[in-house]
Amino acid sequence: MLDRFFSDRRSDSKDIAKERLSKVLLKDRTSYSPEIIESLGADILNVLSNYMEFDKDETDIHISQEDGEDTPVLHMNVPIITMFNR
Amino acid sequence: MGKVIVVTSGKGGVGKTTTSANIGMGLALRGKNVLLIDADIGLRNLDVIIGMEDRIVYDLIDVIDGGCRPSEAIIKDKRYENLSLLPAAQTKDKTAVTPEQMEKLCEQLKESYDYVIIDCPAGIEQGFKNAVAGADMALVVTVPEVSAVRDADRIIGLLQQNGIKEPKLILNRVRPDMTKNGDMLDIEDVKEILGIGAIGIIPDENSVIISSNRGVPVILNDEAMAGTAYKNIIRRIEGEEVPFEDLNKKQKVGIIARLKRIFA
Repeated sequence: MLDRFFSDRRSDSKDIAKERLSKVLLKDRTSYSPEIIESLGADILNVLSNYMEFDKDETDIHISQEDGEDTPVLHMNVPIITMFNR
Repeated sequence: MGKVIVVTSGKGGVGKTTTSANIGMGLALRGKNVLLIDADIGLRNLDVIIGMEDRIVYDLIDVIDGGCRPSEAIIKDKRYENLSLLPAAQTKDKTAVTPEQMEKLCEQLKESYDYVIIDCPAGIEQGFKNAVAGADMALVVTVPEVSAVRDADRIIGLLQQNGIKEPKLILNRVRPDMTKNGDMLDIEDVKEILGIGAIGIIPDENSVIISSNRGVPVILNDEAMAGTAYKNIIRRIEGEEVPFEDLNKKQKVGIIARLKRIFA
C-alpha cells in the first residue's frame, strides 16, 4: 500500500540533478587557470599601452562572479597617468 | 579521403570502447572500409570487446616508432573483412606518443579507409590530446549521471579548443523507467545542459554486457534495442535523418526471432 503510494508519485530527483549541474557547469566553464588570467592581462595591457601611460603597479585584472549574477565579469582597474591623444 | 572520428567522454566507464566497437562494426556492415584505433595505450581493451584479441602481433606504438608498417600491425576482422583494428600497446604508457605523431598517422591512414574510429582513453591528459589530434569529428559518450555529464562538458570545451566545434552526444545506459519517473536525466535534459546536438540514445540493456562477454558487438543482435539504437547512430553518421527511438516502446520481436529463441 505504502509502496504503491510512493511509486505513483512522480519523483523530481532529475530536476535536482539538472539544477545542480547547471550551477556547477557555469562555474566550471568560466574558471580559468591563473596562467590564463596572467596571459590575458598581459595582452590587454599591451594593447592599452598603445593609447595611454598607466600605473603598472596599481593595475588589477580579474574575473569574478557576484552572488545572483548569471555570468562572471571581467574586472579591470587601470589607473591612467597620461592619455596619448595623438 | 576518409573521416576520422574520435569517441571520447572524459569520465571512464561510460561506454566509449563499447560504442567504438559498435560504431566500427556498424559502419563496416554498411559496406564501409573501417579502421578502429585503440588509443588507450597501456590499457588495451577494444580488442576484447570486439573479439579480435587473438591475432595481435604489433601495435600502435610499433607503427609510430617505425618498428613495423601499419599494414603489419592492423588486423582484419574474420567476420567482416572491411573492419580492421589497430590495437593499443599494452606495455607502454600514454607518453610514448605525441599528438603530432598521431595527427600524422591519422592523415596517412584516412587515405586508405572510409572511416577511422579512435577509441579515446578516459581523462583530459596526454592520452586525450593524442586521441583527438587527428580527428575530424567527435562523439561524446556520457551517461545520465551528474558526474559523467559534468566531465562531458569539460571534454566538449577541450574539443572546441582543439578545433572540433560540433561534437555530437551519445547518451548511454538510459533507463526508460527511470526517465519516465523523473529520476533520470533524459536526452533533452542532457542536450540542454551541454548545449550540443545528439546523435544517439542507447538503452541500458543486459544485451550490451552479454555481447561484450561474447566479443560480438550488440549491433549484430537484431533483437536488442541497444543494437537498433547503434544502427540508427550509424545512419545518422552517414547523413540520414533518423528520428530518435522511443525507448519506452517494447521492441517488436518477429515470429522468426521468437522461434529462434525457442529453439536456441
